Amino acid sequence: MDFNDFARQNGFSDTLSEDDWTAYGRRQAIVTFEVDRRGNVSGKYKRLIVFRDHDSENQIKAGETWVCTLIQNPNSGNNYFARAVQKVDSSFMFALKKDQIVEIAAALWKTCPDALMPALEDMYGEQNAAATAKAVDEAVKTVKQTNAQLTAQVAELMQTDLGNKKIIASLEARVKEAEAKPPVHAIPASSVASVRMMSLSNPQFDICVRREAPDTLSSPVFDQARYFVHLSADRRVLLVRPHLNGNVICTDQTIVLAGLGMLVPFTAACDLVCDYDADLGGIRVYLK
Amino acid sequence: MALVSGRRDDKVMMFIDIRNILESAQTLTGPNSPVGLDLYLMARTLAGSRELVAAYVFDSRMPFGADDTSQRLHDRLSYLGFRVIAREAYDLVRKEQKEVDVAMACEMVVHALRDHYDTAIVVSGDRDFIPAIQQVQMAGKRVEVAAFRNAVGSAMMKAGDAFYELDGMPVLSMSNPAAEISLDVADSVAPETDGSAAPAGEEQHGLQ
Repeated sequence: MDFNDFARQNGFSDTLSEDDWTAYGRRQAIVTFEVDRRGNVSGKYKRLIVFRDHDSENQIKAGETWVCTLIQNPNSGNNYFARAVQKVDSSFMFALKKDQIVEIAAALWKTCPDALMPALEDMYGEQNAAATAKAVDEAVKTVKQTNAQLTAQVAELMQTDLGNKKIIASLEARVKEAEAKPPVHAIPASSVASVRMMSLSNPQFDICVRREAPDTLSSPVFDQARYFVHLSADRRVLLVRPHLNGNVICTDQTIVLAGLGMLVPFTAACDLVCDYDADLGGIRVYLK
Repeated sequence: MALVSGRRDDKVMMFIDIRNILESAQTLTGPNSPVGLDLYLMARTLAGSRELVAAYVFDSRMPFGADDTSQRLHDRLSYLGFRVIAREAYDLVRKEQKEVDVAMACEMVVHALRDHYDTAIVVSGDRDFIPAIQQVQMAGKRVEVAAFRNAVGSAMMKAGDAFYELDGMPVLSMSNPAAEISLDVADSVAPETDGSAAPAGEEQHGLQ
């Protein structure tokens, strides 16, 4: 590679303008000197012969590479005289800074990869093989671990599946047993939950609420301690909802409501039509 | 059944003219009635299974220095989650509230234009709200009106896309005789509420 191009590309002389390069830079070159057919020590620069300048004859030897200043032959103009600047050898290379080495390596890789590749392959072949073998070992180890985990999970899932099958079989047996029994028509433990279940399963099921006194309602389904009770403004519907924080206290399956007799006239004890309202979560008692 | 149908995932905003509704309820139940209107249950029942994004309560409060009995009611409603907007504009001489209707109308229209709800439920029988209802409808929103039969005219019943008659809804809270019952207007809201979501769709509540 031309030294001047290299120097310009890598910004070794940012302060130089194009004119400076033309006037100054073009005379710098890296030249390798050999003994030619006539026994003279010379090199070549852009197909022109470069002889040693008489001041540098003692410095520049055959087989050496030098950074030198080229002076064009003033007589013929067909050859150069080289004035030694810096010998390019191992000590020069070792003196380079790390970033300079990196830049030189990058430039070399860019310009002549074919020349570098075989050398690099030889140098790094063993390292690459070792690294690849290590990576393969790690991958194999990971696969083995994953396989072991999956096997454990499959075993766990099979165990769970077995348990679920047992539960399903047990439930099916209970369902068959329940289906074999005759249907129950009587009110069971008379909890609201059971009433709800029965009401949902049988819409015709009647909930019995009895108005025994002007302010008193009783029913087997009033088995909770507290209720919320709401009346409609037209005094036709009473909504009785069990709730832990209800403001109406129920005792002996009977609730007493202040002012019910005043709002809804009482003539005699009677059973009231009711149904379970699943949306409101309570019993609707139709007062009229 | 309403002609204009709502959807179960509608966002509902409620606007309650509390004086109108409380006075209607008191007229129905009598002056010394032991029952009180449960606004919480009423709001949950009217909203049904839809998403209630806000429930505004509009009222007036006494000017500074006057004996304001409604403050306790406002506090209780705020505690229950209602957004109470109390205008300090009560005419002590004529004993009537000012600014409240316009405040409620403005709130309805502004929230509609800002697309904060899909359905407005106006709980009042006052026909002064009809222009605001029409504006909300023009903004592409559904409006439902709920009121007691004794406090609503036919124009207001027809103004919304649906009308709910509160008379048939069990929303008057009852209690045991032993419980302390306060008879003033401020206490006409139920003393306790269960906090449970009651409701479902409107038809299932028998609302027309």
